[in-house]
Amino acid sequence: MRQLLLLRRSLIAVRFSSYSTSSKATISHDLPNTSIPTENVDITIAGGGLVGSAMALAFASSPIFKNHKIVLLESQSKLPKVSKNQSYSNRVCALNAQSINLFEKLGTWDLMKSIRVQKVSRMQSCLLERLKQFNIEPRLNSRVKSFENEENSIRIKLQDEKINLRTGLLIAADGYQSSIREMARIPTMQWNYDQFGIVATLQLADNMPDNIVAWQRFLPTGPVACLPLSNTHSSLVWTVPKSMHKTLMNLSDEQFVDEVNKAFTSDVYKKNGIISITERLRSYWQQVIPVSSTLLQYPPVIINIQPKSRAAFPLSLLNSNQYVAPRLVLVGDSAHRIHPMAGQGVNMGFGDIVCLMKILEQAVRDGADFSSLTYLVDYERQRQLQCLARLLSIDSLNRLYSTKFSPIVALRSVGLSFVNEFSPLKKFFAKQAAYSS
Amino acid sequence: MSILSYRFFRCIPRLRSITLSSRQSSTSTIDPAEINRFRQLSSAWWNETGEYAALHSLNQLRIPFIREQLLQSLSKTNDPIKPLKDFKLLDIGCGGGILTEPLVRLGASVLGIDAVSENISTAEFHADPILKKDLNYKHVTLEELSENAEQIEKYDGIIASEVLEHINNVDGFIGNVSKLLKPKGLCFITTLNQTMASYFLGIIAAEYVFRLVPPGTHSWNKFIRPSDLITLFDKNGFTVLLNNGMFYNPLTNRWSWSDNKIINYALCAIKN
Repeated sequence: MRQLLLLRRSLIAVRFSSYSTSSKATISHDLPNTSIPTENVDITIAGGGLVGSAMALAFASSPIFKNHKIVLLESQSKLPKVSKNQSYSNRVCALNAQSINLFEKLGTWDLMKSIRVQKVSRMQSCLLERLKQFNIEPRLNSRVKSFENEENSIRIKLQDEKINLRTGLLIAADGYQSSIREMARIPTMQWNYDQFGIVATLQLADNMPDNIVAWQRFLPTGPVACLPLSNTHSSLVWTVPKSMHKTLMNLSDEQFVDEVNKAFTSDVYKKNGIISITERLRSYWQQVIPVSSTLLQYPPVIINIQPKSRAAFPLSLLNSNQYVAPRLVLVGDSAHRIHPMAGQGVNMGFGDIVCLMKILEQAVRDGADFSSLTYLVDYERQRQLQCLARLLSIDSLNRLYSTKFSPIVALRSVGLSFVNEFSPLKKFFAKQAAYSS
Repeated sequence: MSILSYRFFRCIPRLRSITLSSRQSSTSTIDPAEINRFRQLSSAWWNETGEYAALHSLNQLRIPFIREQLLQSLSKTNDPIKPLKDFKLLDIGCGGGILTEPLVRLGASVLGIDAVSENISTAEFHADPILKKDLNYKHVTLEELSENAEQIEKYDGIIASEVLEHINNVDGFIGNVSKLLKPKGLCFITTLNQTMASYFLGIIAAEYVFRLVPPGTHSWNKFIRPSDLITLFDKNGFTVLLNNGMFYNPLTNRWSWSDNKIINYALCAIKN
């Protein structure tokens, strides 16, 4: 309840805090260190990950921003390289309709071979390849050391101190531990759970040419999901209580495969009393509404996991109280983070890009300075509403699963079996998942 | 009475009450105290969450209004980034240039005039160097400008946004606008209605109850009803094309179009 109240406060606080740029506006024009040259750019994007590079690409391919100078900073010294024979990395994400639409617009959907479930590394290299066509190369080893607002710009000092940047707009896409967010002193709200998400790349027993269906089972310990990668491989996302994750992580690969198969098929993870209630309901519903045959699907049988693909993440949610400040915008995980469940987080990041581009293009069409705070606030309002709703729904789902209180356990099982049996509802939920960002 | 007008009126006494620091540099030809003062004024005008926040957000409504009406009646180019290229516009009562600069960014060549010389210096101080070619400011009144033979029938569009409520002789004002406009040129007005609502919210509440503006800054008698304004435009040889109500939400600082003209409204008229 307290968290809910906090959440409400952050919603209400959305735009009552006032910004002051004027205090700094009287600072003299003297260079802090004249030996470092200053480069003038229009838009600086900090963070060359998926969201950062897609953001750069969105600007580069926009007819309205084609004459603007875009700089993409990446703090790492290397970018992911992808070869065809590389084993599947453990990071995948299922793109929703909005993200697919974005990639079609950016001209990368064909490069991505039009597949809905993407490996992060491949998406990344497709984005970089497309950026190269617009003559944008990420600047490696470039970490923002500090920045300050000036009269009509932001001055950025970089870690290596070779060059300073003076930019009209700074976009922070530097992940959930965003140092730019910290430097701007933007407060965040965080929820931590006693739960872990275990991910791995699974090898299927059969070569399934129609391995195209995402598969999910709701267990009392948390949902376990299987996302198709190819005809022979799928990606696992398994939510477990903190107490369970160490055991699962310490198992040998063979033992882990056994546990995964058990979680997919057997009733060990289910409670007996609950099963009988849901079974009774199931038969009742089958009398009322005939079960659609397309929904009867057997879970995949797993024979192996890709070596070293198993990893565990603590589950937590984070939301930044502000997504914008004068000449500064947060996108992707630096603004909001959900736990790594099937890449839903990155879909939210792509949703940020779609929204921000729409609003900045409108600003230019209205003759405003593209970094005008009046317009940036519109971005914040729209995204806070979307992202908070999403965080809240995930939060409540998590709460639903973290309780052991029997009536609630019974209710959720009944509720989910209701969803399961009533096919139009199920389709509705699937649609929601696909379209929401 | 809208927040917009509190902010607008509040600025006038404040601008005048600022005193100059008298310390002067003997070597420079420009008074640094003066420069610093315009820098402060300019950052006050251009602080989008400050006193003029409502004027900044009003741009989201009035710029598309002006742009679309101009393009509909006399489209000149198909340039998506500079749609108002080759348009000559006059912005009456330009203040710090909040409306003037965006119009120049859209490609128009704009003259901003203001009766307060400090506003002109402030607007000039802020002007983006990239815009300077098509952006001019002049400390002059509309009457003086309309006596200049060079200015007669020079403009495709004349804008008087949040200005009419300070004018004594609106009839003469529209007559002068007509002199400066090309035939088929457009005149854009945004102003306040003379209603019970604007009287109670604007005068009684704002000046005497909440003291948001000093008593006496508003003269409700100068507010003008849309029907009276339309009559004056007809009399001066204009046809009114559009007349819409505007609604301001002070909590979100956002404007929207409304059927209700009870407080703020916008009008566009074409010179016959």
